[in-house]
Amino acid sequence: MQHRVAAIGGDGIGPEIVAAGREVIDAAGERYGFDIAWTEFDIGAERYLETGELLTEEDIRELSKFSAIYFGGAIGDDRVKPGILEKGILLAIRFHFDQFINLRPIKLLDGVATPLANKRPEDIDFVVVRENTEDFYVGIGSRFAGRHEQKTLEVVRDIYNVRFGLDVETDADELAYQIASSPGRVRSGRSATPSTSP
Amino acid sequence: MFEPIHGSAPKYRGQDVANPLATVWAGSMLLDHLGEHEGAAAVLRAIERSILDGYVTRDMGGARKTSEVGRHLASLVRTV
Repeated sequence: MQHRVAAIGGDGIGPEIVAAGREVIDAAGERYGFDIAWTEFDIGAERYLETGELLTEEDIRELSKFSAIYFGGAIGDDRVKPGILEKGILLAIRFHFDQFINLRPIKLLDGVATPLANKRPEDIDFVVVRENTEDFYVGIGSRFAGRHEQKTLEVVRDIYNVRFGLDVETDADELAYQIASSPGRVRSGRSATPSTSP
Repeated sequence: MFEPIHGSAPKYRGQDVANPLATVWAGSMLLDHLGEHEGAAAVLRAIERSILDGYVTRDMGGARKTSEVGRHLASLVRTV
């Protein structure tokens, strides 16, 4: 079985860690009989500094041909004002592809020391299902904007309303419910903690 | 889209010192998304094995480079 996956190394350490990850994924494919056809995308600070392009229409068109995107998670560069790359690339991808869930597994791995007394791997294993495109998590960029927060929020919400008009709260609840209902998952809870990180 | 939640750490760029485990774990989630559940589980087992063996980058008290950890995990994922 072949899967087509887009790879975005991004900035900073991104290309190195994505290279390591691809090596591991490819090895899993050799063992279990699947093959990943990787296509690399040059999206990030370097290109922006050279051409002024963030996420282009062509990027979106090409990215939409893939089953998944493997991303270094790393958008940000000392030479670019904070917020430009985060909004122009990270958030642009998120909203265009309606990535409405931010799914984060939290698991204490065997061999990792924890400051929590007497906790073992079986004690810490949960999944955070977070709204990714609406509510408090509107995507202000990676830096807290301090007293300018309200203004930024309005700008982002305007873009969001005009361009996307998403209503996904029910979906997030549904996914959280499904995970909580799966074997071994016993509890779930809700939180409305605002976030300012992308 | 599958990604580690940490940032780009520009000052460590190109030094081969960054810890790739979060990215590798995101890779495991990517495999789950593609329906390759056995592969996804093996990747997580490889991460655990590597940590137990102390084959980790310096932020976790080890002495291995990013690329070395990647190679080691790739080798582990074939057997664990």
